[in-house]
This record gives sequence, C-alpha cells and structure tokens, in this order.
Amino acid sequence: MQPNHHPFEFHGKAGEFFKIWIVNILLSIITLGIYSAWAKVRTRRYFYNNTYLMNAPFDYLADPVKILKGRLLVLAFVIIYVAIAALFPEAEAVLILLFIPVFPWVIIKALKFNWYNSAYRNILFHFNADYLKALWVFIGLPILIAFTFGLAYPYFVKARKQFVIDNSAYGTSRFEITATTNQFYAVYGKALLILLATLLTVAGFSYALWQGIGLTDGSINPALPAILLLLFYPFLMLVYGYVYTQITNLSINHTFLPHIQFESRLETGQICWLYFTNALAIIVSLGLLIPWAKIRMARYRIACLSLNSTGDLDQFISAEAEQAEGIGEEVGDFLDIDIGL
Amino acid sequence: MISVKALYYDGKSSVQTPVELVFYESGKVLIRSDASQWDSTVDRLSIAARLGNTRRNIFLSDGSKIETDDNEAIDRVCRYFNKNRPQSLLHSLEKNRTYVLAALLLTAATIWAGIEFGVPLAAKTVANSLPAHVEHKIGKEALIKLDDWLFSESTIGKGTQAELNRQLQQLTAHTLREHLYRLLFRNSTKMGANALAIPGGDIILTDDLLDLAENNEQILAVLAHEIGHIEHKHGLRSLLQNSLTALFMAGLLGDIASVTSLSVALPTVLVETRYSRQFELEADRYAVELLDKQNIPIEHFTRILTLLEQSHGLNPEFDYLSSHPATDKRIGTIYDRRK
Repeated sequence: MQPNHHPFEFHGKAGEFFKIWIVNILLSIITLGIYSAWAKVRTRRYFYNNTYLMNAPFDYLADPVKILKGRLLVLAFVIIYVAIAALFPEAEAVLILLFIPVFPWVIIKALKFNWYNSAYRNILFHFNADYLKALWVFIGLPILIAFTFGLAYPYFVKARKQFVIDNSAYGTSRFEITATTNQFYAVYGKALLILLATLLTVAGFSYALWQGIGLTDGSINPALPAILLLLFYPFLMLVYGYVYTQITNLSINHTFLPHIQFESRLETGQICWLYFTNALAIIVSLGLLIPWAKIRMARYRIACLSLNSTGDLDQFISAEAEQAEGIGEEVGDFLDIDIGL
Repeated sequence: MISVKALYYDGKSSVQTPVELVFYESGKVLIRSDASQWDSTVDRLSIAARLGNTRRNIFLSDGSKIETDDNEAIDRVCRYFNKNRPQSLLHSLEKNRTYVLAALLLTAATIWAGIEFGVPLAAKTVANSLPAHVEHKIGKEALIKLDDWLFSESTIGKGTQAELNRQLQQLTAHTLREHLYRLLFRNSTKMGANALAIPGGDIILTDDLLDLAENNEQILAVLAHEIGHIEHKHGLRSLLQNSLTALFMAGLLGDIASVTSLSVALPTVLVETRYSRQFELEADRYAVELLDKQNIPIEHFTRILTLLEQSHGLNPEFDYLSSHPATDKRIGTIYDRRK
C-alpha cells in the first residue's frame, strides 16, 4: 500500500504573538512573577494550537495553578540551598550528592507533565519510564563520559533520545526509535571535523591579527581576545547548528508510531542563517523582535516536519487517564533540560 | 440562536467528526452530526479562553471535545451567557492596539526603572542589613583567591609599608569603619599599577602603583577613592546587583536562551558595567570630600588618574563596555563638584 504523505503546518503570526507576548510580560512584572505561570501556558498554547496536522491542531492543556505551585516549590528549594551553602559551605557538597538520585526522578516527572498535558484530536500523549533506566542514562552515562574523555558523548545523546522517544506514547500507541548508535557517532565525527577546520581558520586569523594589530613593543593588544571571541562566535554557531540539525533529522526520521513514519528535513544552512539573523534582529531591536524570531524559528522547524502513514489517523485509542504534578515540569524548566521529540 | 460549524472528538479515539453546534437562548445546546444528534446545556460546557485566532476548544463533561474556527460566534455566546469573564478580558487586552502600545511603554518603563532604581535599591538594602561578618567573610575568601591568581609578594620595604599604613589610619579616622582598615602590599605583573578595595576593609596597593605615583599625596588620593568603595560597601553591593541583574535578565529573556545566548549575555554585561561605572563615580565623590577634609589638593587625584590611564594604555572610546568611566570624564566630574 502506498503511504500517504501529511505535512505539519504552522499558522502562527508574529504580529498576533507580539501582542500576547507583551501583555504576558507586563502582567508578569505587575504581579511580581505570579502571572508568569499563566503567561507560560498561554505562550505554549499559542504555539501548539497553531501547529496543524491533517486539519487538526495540537493542544496544550496544563493548569497554570499547578505550574505556579511547582515554581514556588523550586524557589523554596533554591532559597534553602543558597542559605545552607552560605552558612555552612562544607555542607554544599553533601547537598549536591543528595540531589543526584533525585535528578532522574525530576526528569521523568517533567516529561510526564509535558506529555500528559499535550494532546492531538482529544487524545493525550503519555510518558512512562523506569527510574533505574533514567538513573543510568542521566547519571551513569555522564560519569562514563568523564572517564572516556568525551568518547561516550554521542552514545549518551542517543540513549537520551531513545529514553524520551521509546517511553512516549500517543494514546495507547507507543513511539519507537530505530536510529543506531553508529549513526549518532557519524554526526559527531563530522561535527568534530568542522570544529577542527574552524579552529585552524581562527588560529590563522589570530596569527594575521597578531601581526597586524599587535602593539609595537610586542605586548598583546587588550582588544585582541574580544576580537577573537567575536570571530569565533559565528563558527561555533555553525557547529552547533550542524549538530542540532543532523541529530534532530536523524532522530525524527527514525521515529515510528504503528503504521506511521516521521520525517524531518531541516537544513544546516537554513538553521544557522535563522540563528544568526534572529540574534542580530533581537539585539538591534532591543528585544522587540523576540516574538518575531520565535515565530520564524517555529515556522521553519514545523514546515520541515511531515509524516507518512499506511493506515488512517483515526485509529488511535486513548489510554487511561493518570495524574501528573506540575513540580517536575518546573524543575525541568529550571535546569534547562532539553525536552522534546 | 447561534449556529457554528465545528469538529467533534469523543476522547476515546482520534476519529474526527464534523458537527453543527446550535446554541439556544434558553441555554440548550444541540450537537448534530450526519449520523446522530444529542443535546447538552451551556452550563455543562467548558469553553476555553480565546487566544488570538487559534481554533477554539469546547470541552464537554463526558471528556469529549469540540473545536471550531468561529471565534466570533463563540465570543457572542460567552457574552450572552456571561461565561469566561476574566479570561475574555485578556483577549480584549491583546487585540486592542492602544492597550498593546500602553503595555509596551509600561514594560519598557518598568524594566528601565528596575535597572536604574529597583536593583540598586534592593542591593543596597540587603547589603546594609547583612551582618558585618558576612562582608568580612566574602572579603577574606576574595583575598585568598586574588593571592592565588594574581599576586606575588611585595618588594616594598617594611618601613614604607608601616608609614603608609599609619597614614591610612589617619585618613580613615572618624569614618564609619574606623579601625577596620588595613593596607596590604602586593606585586602583580598582570594587573600593573592598580589598587583594590576588598569588602570588609582591606585595601591592596600594587608595587607598580607606588612606582607610578610621583608623590605621597597621589597615593593618599588613590586610598581615598578605595576607602569610598569600602564605606559604600560597593563590593557586596555589586555582587548582589550582578546576581539580581542576571536573574532579572534570565526571567525576562530566559525563554529565548535557546535562540541565542548572546542576546541574553550582552544586555547583562552592559547593565553590569554601567553599575560598575556608577560605583566608580560614587567613590570619586567620596574621595574628593575626604581629600578636602584633609586639605589635600584634588590636583593630586586627577594627576594620578591621568598617570594610571597612560600606564594602562586604555582606550577611552570604549566607554559602554568598560568597568570604569573614561578618565577625562571622571576628572571633569571631579572639578564640576568643586564649583
């Protein structure tokens, strides 16, 4: 049977989002941050609701009150931590050690909260993972990376993607990723080559600059490190953009639901161009173009996304409802964990 | 009676069913598909708050959901039955140009006021309410780190050291922290001619600075400036201000950190260096007053500032990224205060 191709579409508009964004910021400031939980839900809803697949939008259903409670709890923990660390500096290491086993639990909670509050066609997404597995991926593997001088890093990225995707479900249908470890190593191998080429180029530039603007008495021009950093920044962005694009494509192109295969066609050049012009626009506009930059990025990412299906999209069945608390989500937010398919 | 075209999902499967939704004045709601029809009441529907022109969700009590693009019709229903009052207020804020413009101006004004007054005031209040030993502890740790990274033993003779220390005690008599001051001498090839105020009361002079100074009064002028930093608790305050600024910026711009970290880092650096320049000017003001009291001409102060600038080869054009104001601006401000 010939598979049907269905593109994802993004209908969000920069002008419309700008108004929502600025009202969100103002109300968050006026309420001393309390409104930020509502602002977050409204922002995320705007992006989910504007993402369409086969004439149906995605939904974000989180309760802002839960997010607010989670934020207050995190704030309380941070205050306690800072207070203890300031009064008894010796205890700081103990606190960090105590946090290590909690960390995987927080990640599971955050993913659960996010997935459980995401829906499509009134069917919820789900996340269910084993604690020990999370402990291995998020604590064990980083330790392994340290002992292998970074050689295990691509394996860690693969394990992380696999942990997220393989434990996710849409209704009763489980997601599955088939990308191999070798494919991840290939991406990082190429990224390493780009990085080496970059370093050589920058070293060449530095040498030329050294000759050009080094002071006559042989000492270093104080502006030199700043200039080098500025030169290096676009190159770093290129490497970052390459890794992001390739890893995203690799993961999504090997992700399946029953009868469905996902497809992502991001291009490194396009992503880097968006990063660069967005950064420039935000700085030049003193932040006013932040909503425009976000909409632009979302539009490109979603325009590159599609799926091929051999069945129809009416086949999915909902799973039994379960509760997910807001705390994990906020801790996840706080620690800037990369959550996403 | 209001009728809208909609899509129905039963919540058990992903099947999408086109329906017609009819609202009656009585509060009765009729849901009609090709195959069947059933009814409900407005009270039992939970209508999502409007968000731009995104498709509107209407949740039914049995877990099923209806979606419609006809936001205007649903708004009319909400108004008629007095539903969703607080949420619809948000949408009226967001769609009205005047309100949005007002929100923009108010936000800009709040951010400006927060950076200009809020953060410095909060930092000052906290700094003044913290017990003295906190500042001492911070100073002690900072000194240990500085000794590790930057300093080596001074070559200045013990006699000169003791004499300058005596002059410092004389200079700080009747200040807020009399008897807490201590003068330390260090050599540093990395820093060159420089003086540092450590929170708590220690002042460090580098050997190069002593070489650079043409007379004793110039050294006293530098000390007066550093005493200003310590009396105003600038070390502790800048520590607090910088953490507050970082928190403020992360809160404001945090969700775009993934777009680019430069757009968060740059404004943070700009604000922090601005605070630092304000502290320098405040320390200058303090120094002028103290030198006046001791009958030391401020020409010694302006002269040593010029000498310092020459020895560091600083570029006065780069004011915005600098931790210190340009020297001619500082000298100009010093004389302005005299008039």
